[in-house]
Amino acid sequence: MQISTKQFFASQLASMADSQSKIGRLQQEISTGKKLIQPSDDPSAYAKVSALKQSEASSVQYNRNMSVAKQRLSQEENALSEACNAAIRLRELSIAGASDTYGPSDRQTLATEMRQVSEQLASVANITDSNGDYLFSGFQSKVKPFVLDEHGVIQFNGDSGRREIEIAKGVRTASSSSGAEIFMQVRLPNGQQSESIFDIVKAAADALEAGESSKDYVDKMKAALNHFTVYQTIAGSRLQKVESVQQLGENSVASGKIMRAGMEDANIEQLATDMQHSLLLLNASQTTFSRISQLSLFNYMK
Amino acid sequence: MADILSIGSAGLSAYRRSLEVTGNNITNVNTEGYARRDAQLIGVGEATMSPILLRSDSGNGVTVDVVRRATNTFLQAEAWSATATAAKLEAFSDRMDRLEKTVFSSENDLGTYIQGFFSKVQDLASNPTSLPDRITTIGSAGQLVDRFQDLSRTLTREITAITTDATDQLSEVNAITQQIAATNTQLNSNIGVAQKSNDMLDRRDSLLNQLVKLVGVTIDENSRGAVDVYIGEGTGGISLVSGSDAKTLAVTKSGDSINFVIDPYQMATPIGRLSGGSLAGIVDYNDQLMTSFEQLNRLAASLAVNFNQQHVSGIDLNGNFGKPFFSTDNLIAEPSLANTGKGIVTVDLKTASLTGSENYIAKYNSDIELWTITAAISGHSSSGKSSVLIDGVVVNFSGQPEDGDVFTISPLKNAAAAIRVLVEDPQQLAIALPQLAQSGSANVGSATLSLNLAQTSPFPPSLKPMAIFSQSISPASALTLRNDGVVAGVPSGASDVRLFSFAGISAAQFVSSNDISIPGDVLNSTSPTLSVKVDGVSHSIELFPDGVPSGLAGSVDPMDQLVNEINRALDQNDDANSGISEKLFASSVNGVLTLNALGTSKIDNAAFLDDETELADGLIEVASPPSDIQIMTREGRQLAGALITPAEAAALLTETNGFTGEAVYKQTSNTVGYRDISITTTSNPLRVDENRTSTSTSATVSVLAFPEADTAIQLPGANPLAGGVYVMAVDGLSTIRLAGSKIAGKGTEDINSLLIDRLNGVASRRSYDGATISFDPNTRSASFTVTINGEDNFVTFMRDVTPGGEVLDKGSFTVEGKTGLSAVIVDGKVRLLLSPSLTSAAPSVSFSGDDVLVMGFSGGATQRLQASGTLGVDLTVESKTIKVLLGVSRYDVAISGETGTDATSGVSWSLENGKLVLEADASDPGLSIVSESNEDRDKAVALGFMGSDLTLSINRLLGGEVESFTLASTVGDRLTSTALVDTSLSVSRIGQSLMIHGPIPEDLIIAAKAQPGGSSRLAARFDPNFKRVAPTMPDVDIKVTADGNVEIFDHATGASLATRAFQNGLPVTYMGASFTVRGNSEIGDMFSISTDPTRTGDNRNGLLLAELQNSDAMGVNSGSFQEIYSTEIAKMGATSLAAKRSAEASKSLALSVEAAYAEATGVSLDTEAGELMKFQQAYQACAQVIRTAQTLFDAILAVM
Repeated sequence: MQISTKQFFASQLASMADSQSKIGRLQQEISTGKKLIQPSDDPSAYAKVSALKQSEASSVQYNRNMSVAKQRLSQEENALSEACNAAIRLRELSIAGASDTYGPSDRQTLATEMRQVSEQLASVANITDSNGDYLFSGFQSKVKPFVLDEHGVIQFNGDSGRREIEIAKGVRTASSSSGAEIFMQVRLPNGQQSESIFDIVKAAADALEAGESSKDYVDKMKAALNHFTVYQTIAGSRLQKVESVQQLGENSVASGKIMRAGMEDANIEQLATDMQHSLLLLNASQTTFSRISQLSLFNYMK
Repeated sequence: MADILSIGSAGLSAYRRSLEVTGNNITNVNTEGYARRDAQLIGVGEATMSPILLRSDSGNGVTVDVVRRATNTFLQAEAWSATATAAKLEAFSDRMDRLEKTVFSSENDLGTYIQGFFSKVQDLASNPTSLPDRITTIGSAGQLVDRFQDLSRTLTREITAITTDATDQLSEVNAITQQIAATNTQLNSNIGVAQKSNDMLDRRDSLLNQLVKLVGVTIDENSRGAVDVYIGEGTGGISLVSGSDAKTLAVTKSGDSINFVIDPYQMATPIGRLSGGSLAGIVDYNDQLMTSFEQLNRLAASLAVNFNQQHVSGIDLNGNFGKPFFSTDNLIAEPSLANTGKGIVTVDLKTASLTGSENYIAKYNSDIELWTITAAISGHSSSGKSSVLIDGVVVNFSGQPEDGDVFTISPLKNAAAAIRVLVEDPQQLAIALPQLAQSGSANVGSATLSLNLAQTSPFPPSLKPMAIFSQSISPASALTLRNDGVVAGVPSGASDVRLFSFAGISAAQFVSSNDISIPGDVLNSTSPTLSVKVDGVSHSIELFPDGVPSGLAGSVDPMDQLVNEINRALDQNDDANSGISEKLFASSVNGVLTLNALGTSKIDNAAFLDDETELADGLIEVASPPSDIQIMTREGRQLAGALITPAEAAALLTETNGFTGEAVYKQTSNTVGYRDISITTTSNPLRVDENRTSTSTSATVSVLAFPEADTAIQLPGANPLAGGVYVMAVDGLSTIRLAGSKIAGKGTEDINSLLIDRLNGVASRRSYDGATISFDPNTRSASFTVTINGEDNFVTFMRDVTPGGEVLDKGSFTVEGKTGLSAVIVDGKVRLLLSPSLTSAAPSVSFSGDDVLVMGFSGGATQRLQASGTLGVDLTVESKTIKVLLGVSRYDVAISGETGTDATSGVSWSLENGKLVLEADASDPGLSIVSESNEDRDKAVALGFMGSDLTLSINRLLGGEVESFTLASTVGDRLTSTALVDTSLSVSRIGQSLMIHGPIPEDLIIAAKAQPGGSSRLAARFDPNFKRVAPTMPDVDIKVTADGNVEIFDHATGASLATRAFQNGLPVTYMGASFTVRGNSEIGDMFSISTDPTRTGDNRNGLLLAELQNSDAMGVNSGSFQEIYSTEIAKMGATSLAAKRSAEASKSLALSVEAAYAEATGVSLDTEAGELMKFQQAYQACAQVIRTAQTLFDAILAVM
């Protein structure tokens, strides 16, 4: 069985070329630190890695959304906490005004303070978020919701739209409650129709200024406090929900990154060893080739 | 006998030959296609006799029989096949690898850009009032489309490069096959020259080695070594090289596919799949490119279509609905190469479902001017003149196509290259939704309302569409129904719909038939009479009392003549026949003579008689009142028409009739205010506005015509019915009636003009006669000026000249001027005629000019006033005194006898054609009749000077159209209501005329009710091309009413729209939208659903747009955009990986088969070196034999 000389050379060179390209590939993996450079390297892993990258990017986005939601919700919570404080004070004032130990001028003072508290409440109700949007205006974000009209009555100029924010795939949260519901429709006990807190305060202050007792308004102030507390709780629980979703998101991103690295990243130690091995083989085959190719019967013919 | 010498020398030459062969092998160790040669040595002279016979012959040495070339056909074929396969796989996998690295590497990832875009949309949804977020969203969209376009361009370039590649390789193939053919020629012709053949065989093998790398072939060798080469898969394949004949191959492209064809210039035959070679690899790669390209296009198209669909349902900062965000037009339609016309085709993916790979073929038929589009795979089709909708794709056609022109439409092709962002203005990003549900602030209950916005609701199939009407609004083609009830539905989106209901009037019709010809036979009879029974009373009206003018039947308009005569006779015989002219009139349309009843009169029978013989009997039509048209909404709200009873409503408002299941009958109090639907009702087309002043009394008459309604159209086989009639009666004038063909199709202005003509027709005729003309014999023409009321008119007379040059006293007049002046010659005198007008105020006239004397107007002119009516008195027995104004003086002129002159005034009178003519000297201006009292006027009327105290002035609109005319009486308090009968007995058949302006926002239902019930005559006119648009729900207020229902009101107008029963928590639907009341609601609570463009913080559509990122982009479970993209890349990667592995495997297989072949046929230097030594030794040995022979000879020679 003879070996065609031409064939011999051709096959030797071909296998050396193969070795070199293999080394080249290893080199690329080492320098990029990734074993998954192009889709044909491992198509199913590539698809999974793409999906993971995409959900990481999604998570980043949802985090941004959640910051916006958190900002608004915590602002709302604070505002409502202040509203509760205001309601507490108003109740105290109305209790005082119901007592007989206060004379007309005292009642006057009480009335004045009531009005002041009401004003503060109005400015709390008119707060804006970081974009300059009125928080309690519904969808009318650039319209100041609580404005004094020419009769001295505070009117609501927003609407009952609720701005939702998407915090995770398919999960939305409201980022504020309806200003109308909170401040203009205070639930009153005993089947009474709901009233605006500002109207209540105005009526109470007017009564006090007229020298009357404010005992009719004590229950209403209490109802207002309860009312605000409910909404404060709602805002608080929404905030908690956002935070827990955020935490979940972070966890899944972390585990996703690990999975991705496992599929994508090159194992440097392994690569170094493989490289050594390949270089060794190449070296060996080059040496043997040069030796063998020198062997010829012609060398021995005189 | 052999001897040593010859043996030795034979050996020498044989071995030298062998050495040569070995040397040849060694030098050709690297030659492509070279197969090792072997010199075959055989002994010389050994007879091939029976082996039984032993020969004692010593033999004759050795010789080279033949130089054999080493072959192994089997291994060679295997090697070729393996090489072809390896070449194909390598070509494919190398290119796939490069594609992966350059086009789809992670940095350029389309998926990243898609993610980036939706991320910006998310930011915007979270911060809806932020302008920077709007701007960056648009910017990010721009980057995304740039990426799509980039990828599209790259793939397109790649496809072009591949085609070039294939073409180049194919020309190599063609060069090789030519050379193979040449080699074949050589091989087939070489006979016996073995060595030369071997070289040819080497060459042949070398060529074939190159060929199989390029294209897979089957090779058949004949005994001479010539080869037949076949190409293509399948049994045998197609002959590529056969003997000396090599066919050429060429590349053809269909769309982006690469195909091969053999013998392209003669019998071009397509080749199927190639079995191997790099060309096969290239074709596979091209197929892969096309698949990926299609996916890319599909992705671009579905992103655009889905995003657009959501965007256009939203509201932008300007309060408008969003416009399409990405372009889905600009797609390609490929014209066929056989097209002869210049059609232009554009394709728009409106709502295309993009899952299939359907192609569409559009073909033009010039006979019916129609384009038809057929789906190539499923076969369904759709047609249109300039626009066709098929499978959600809109194709628009323009330009000038020719019959049979064909376009191929691949809706997705070019989608990625053509995608653009259409919204540039950040204000136009529509992230709000139109409607918001809110609870009323005064609500007692705590319930909330949630809203699911509208889906399209179909036009109920149970309701007949408007197409039931025939579009012509003539009584003739009106719809007649057997029962009262719903007639048709008007779909939302319609506008300018006109509806009419007609009365049937009592009439008698006369039509020509086999037995009788109308009007011919009547006009040809001797004493025609009309016998008619009206309202129970019989009348016999004599026609043509002075005899029928001969030739009337053959005149231009005999029917008109007959009709006019009938009407005249009715007028004249009015008193004798109990005011019959108020009850009947005649008219004709399209050859049918109709005797119409006016008002509520009833014709019992009618006939034409000649003397006592009956000529023609009239066909009686019975009168019927018009139906009442009602217009309702599908919720049972009535917008127009008479009210109906609850029982009628219950029967009418059914779902079969197109009403919703919860329709409740309610009348709207304000038809104009129902949701901007405005319906105008008109009746009484003719009206007269009286306008009295103290000095003169006048009345302005304006006509509102309904020309379409009065157009009588002849239906095939049916008798045309006369339409409306305009009747105007002015005291002192005969009643003017316009009907039938006179007014068919005529509008307001024309009717006014006709009335004016008729009025003018009854005015007196004013003219001026000159003295006898005294022409100069030689003057050819004469001219003079007539000044009337300050306006100059130039009258020129051209005398006729005979051919012989004789100048006659006859000729023609030309009149230039404004006054309506014309001239004729009567009895040798020039008579100037003024156009008639109802004016008693005579103009001031003067004459001047060069030939005024010649023409007879230098002072001797006579003015004439001719009565228009016939004389109503017998002047031989009676006399009437009329008041005449001449100049500034009034005279009482007693007229008696047929001619005469009044000495005081100088006015003379005579009779011409039965009509009275007054004459006076023209030097006194202004001959006219005046009336200062009713009596005066009556006298004037009796003498035929009708309407002599009325003036007619015409009121024109800006464009010169006649708007109305004013009749004024110059006699003080004369014009009482009896003096000028106001308005007229209009018998236009229109009972009710409604116009629905539009476009209407919801479907409407038309119902009709007749008295007595049943037959209705309804007609409609509307634009048949309007497309129904989905009904829209307006801003509504929903009130909880006392009976556990809600009532829905239009917020803008307060109109009640619908009534619904509701339950807490269960949805209620209205106009496709559904809303749910949740919680405790109290009676009186109100919820509103409203739109408001100032909702800057409304991000609801923004959230929906952002959610598109995760939705199934191309059908159920198809995955999101990014998923689809990643899957495609992964598929490509898998293909590439598989290709790499196959390529590797086949390469090593090829190498090993080649090695095996090379073993059999290749040159091993070591072996050859050995051979060299062997033959060298043998050669030396043979040389030794010769020396021995020489020694022997020497020995013998020494002895001699």
